[in-house]
Amino acid sequence: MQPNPVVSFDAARTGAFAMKDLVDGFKRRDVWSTFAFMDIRLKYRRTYLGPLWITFSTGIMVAAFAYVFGSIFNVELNSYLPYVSTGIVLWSFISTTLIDSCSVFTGAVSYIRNLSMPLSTHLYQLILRNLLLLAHNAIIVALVYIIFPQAYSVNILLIIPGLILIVLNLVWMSLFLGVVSSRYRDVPTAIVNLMTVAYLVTPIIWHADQVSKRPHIVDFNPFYHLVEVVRAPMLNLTPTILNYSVVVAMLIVGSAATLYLYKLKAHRLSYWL
Amino acid sequence: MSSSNVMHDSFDLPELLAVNQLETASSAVDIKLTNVSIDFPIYQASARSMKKQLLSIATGGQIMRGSDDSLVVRALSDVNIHIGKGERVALFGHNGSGKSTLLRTLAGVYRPTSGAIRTCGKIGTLIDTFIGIDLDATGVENIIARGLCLGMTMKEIDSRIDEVAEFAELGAFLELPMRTYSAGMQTRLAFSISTLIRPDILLLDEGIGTGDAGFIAKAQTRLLSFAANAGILVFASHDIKMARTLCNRAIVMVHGRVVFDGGLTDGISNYEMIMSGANPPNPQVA
Repeated sequence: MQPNPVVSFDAARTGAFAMKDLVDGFKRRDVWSTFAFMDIRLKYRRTYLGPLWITFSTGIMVAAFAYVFGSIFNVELNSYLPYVSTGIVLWSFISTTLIDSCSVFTGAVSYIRNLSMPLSTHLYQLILRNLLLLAHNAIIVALVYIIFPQAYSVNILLIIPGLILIVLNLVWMSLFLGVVSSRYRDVPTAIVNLMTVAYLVTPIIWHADQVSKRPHIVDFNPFYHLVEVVRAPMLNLTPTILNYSVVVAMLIVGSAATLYLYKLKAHRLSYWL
Repeated sequence: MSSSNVMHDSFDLPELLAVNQLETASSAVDIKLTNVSIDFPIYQASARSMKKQLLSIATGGQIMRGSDDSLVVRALSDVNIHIGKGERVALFGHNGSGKSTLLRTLAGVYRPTSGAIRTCGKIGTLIDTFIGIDLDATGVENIIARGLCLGMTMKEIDSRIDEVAEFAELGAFLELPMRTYSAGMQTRLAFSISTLIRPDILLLDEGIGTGDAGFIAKAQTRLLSFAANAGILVFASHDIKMARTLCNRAIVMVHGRVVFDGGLTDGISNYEMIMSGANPPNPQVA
């Protein structure tokens, strides 16, 4: 006979609630994985292409870039297309996750108010859903690399730690934005605007080395480093020490700050919804 | 005792144990609320006009100033309750008296603003039977989704999916999207899934819909046995008849306070007195 689960909460000692929520939520893997897959399946139900629409949409975008830059600006597609397709797919992963994360709790209000379920299950569901979207989009990148074969070396293995770094950074960013957006409803709109601007100022469709005077906006742009840790190895390059330092520093400082915020406010979150 | 404790896999975070929030205690089933108050902060609009507006509402919690001079609605006020194994509590009160808030507090949705709560036992909440249900998904998909929402594991759901199918009398419709169901069929399925859980503590809100007339008797029987199997039942209700069948203890709430806690018969007469308009205390503004 197993002992019964005990849940206790004392308003005078709120500290441990947040950590327990993050751990308990993660343990409900069947919940967040099932719902993440279902999110995607249901969104494209009754369409003929189904979730392939995700792939198809990205394909159209990359094809448009190929046309515009290839035939209008006469850019050499053999090197540009792998660069831009990788960049676009990584960028849409980052920006969609961050925009979604603003509604990770506000969008789950009926679940949160009516069920005994850890808050963080919604966070893990969000991350997995966006990873699944990334996997669909990766098909386009793969096609580009088949059509325009590139040189490969062991550098390609750096994609793995790179992806892990991106995902871990997105976890803290999403939790942070989710909490802050629940309390301050201006944040989601602000983030949408920020991501539009960031798309232009981050070297995604243009190359950092194209500009004669490398603007500060590149090296001071955290998104640039975040994209670079995966994009560089995809292009048979090694990410710079600066890239890794910024991304790792972001992860440490950001996670610490977010954990602190969550520890202070997680137990209040359902009151804000 | 249920062998399926998904909530508790004895995770050894020293920090957690230090603060005593996760105990590997006994197999007892128990609820204890000590001086629990719940304040809802009000963020919208100007606090002043909001205050005037809320003052005109006769029911509801007390409106008061929070610690930082913001406006808060006190939904639960200094609640002390102890519920032991075998007790089936009817929670009475008019709309806005704090019944649902209390139920949600027991479910762990709201953490007390002050005071402490401790529950021991696997909790099952039937507040809204449609949470987790997506009308575009098929019946089977919804059984899985809803089962997960109720805290079941995939394995438990798999083993009982046929039982739900049979009870809901939906046959081949289970493979179709729920959108194609009649309203009655939808309610039937939602209800059937919800009664899958075998919690130690069952939190039941009134108005658990049960579909067409033929199904109601069957559903009531199911609900009775279901509730009787739980170690503790807390049933928020206006329905005195239903409470008489299900419960053996009554708690009456007025404006977020417990005004009666005791036997069912006394509780019902107390509640009827309040409902007949005999001296309901006015909301106070501090």
